[in-house]
Amino acid sequence: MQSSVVFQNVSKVYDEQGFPYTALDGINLEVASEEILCLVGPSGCGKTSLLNMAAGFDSPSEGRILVAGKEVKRPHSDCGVAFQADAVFPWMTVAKNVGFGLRWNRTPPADRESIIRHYLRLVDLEAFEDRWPRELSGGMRKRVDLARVFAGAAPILLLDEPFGSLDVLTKADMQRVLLDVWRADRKTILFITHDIEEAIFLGHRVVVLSKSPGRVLRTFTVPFSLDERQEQLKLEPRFIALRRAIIDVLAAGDGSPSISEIS
Amino acid sequence: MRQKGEQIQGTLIAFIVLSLLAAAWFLLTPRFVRDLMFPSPASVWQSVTTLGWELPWHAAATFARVLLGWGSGVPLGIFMGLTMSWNARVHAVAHTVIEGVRPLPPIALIPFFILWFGLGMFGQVLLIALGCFMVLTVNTYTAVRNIPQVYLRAGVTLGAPRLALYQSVILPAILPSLVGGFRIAAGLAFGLALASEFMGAQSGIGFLMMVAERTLNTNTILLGVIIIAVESYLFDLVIRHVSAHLCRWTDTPLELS
Repeated sequence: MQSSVVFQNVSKVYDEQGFPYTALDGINLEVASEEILCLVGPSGCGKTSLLNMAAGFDSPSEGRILVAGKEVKRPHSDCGVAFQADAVFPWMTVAKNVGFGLRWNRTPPADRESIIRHYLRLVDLEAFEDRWPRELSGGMRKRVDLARVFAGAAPILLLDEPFGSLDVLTKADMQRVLLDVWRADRKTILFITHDIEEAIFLGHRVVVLSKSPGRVLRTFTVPFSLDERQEQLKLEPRFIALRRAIIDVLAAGDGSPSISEIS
Repeated sequence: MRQKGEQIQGTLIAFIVLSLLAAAWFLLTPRFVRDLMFPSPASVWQSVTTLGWELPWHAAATFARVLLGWGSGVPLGIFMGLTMSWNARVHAVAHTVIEGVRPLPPIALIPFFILWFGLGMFGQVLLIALGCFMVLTVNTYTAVRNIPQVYLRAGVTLGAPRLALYQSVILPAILPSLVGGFRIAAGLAFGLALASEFMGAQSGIGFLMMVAERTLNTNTILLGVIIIAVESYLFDLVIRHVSAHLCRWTDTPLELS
């Protein structure tokens, strides 16, 4: 299997007022092509740093990162990125936002409209195409952001807790949309979340990071097929068992007693 | 956003205050205040009729200087600010020069401008343009520095080339912060237009006021003040309306009254 995003022995040390602070320590990770890899870990474990380095916004203190075979040195457009913060351009209408990436990737103008409509339909915002972002709720803006990332032609997506701010129902909806998009476009996705249930539901593999400094504690392969991934799966014993196993690894890595030990 | 009712109330108060001031002017002059110190409405009107068609011609001359100077200085200032943010070397050079020159009031340069460019329109417009340029250069550069990073990152990862990033992300993102600069530059432009007309121009409201000053013709001086006030108010009104339309996407619409 060809690797799309490779982290080779990546460490990140920040300088905090003269004191070195190690955020990430010796990360080795490969996101295979057409894979959804979910990264879970406690807050402050360097998940976002990892994504920023893959996108080229930041550079590792040690090690290197390859995206599509090339070492990342600066910001690039090989990866579509969904940020934690609201990144929808307020000066463009919803449709213009979704079509922004299409203007630069040689999509013929005649095709753009149908692509925009397709992704707007996916995130259920077709009726809002001519609205300004300020007229939408925070959750709707997040969906615009995702539609824009999906519509862009980048074969790799880096998603930083994209559903973190959504309500439960919208979140479940968007998880389904993400799987639909993946089924249709087979993009490579590095998905960052602190929601373990979400990680198992979406990921082919789940990588667990430790509390700072972030190290890879363990990688889980998720045994569920794409067709199995329906809402009710989250209630099945094998899903819950996997979830508990991940929580145990997280808790052990944290130095605190595991949940299984307690219960 | 202000409430509609509050807005109407504000307009009403402004109208009352202005009416009271006008009433005071009509009642107090010339009965209690000598015409020389503060001319009465009647004497100002007399000055209007005496000047005849000369008045709109001078008013238009001043307005033309402002329009040409502002209209060239503002875009050039924006361009300079953007160029400084584009290239670190341009910034290093331009920053030093501009920060060195900026504290200097452009009015101080008028004698030189007369020497270099003569008494014609060109030198006067250039002076106004220079003033507006300085305001907008600093305004633009600061605004670019304050754009939330996430917009730039989103633009880059979506594949926008650098020039397109400036056109589609940076320029619209800074526009609301430039409105203040547009308005400050407009005020400065009227000030500089008047100053340059005081010193050597052969037309314009400033020229009219300077000639009137020699004969202590305070009627015409007050008339000049009124005309400049009206012109600059109208110009500001247009700037605010156009800006409000261009920035109609913002969370906090610009106030129009």
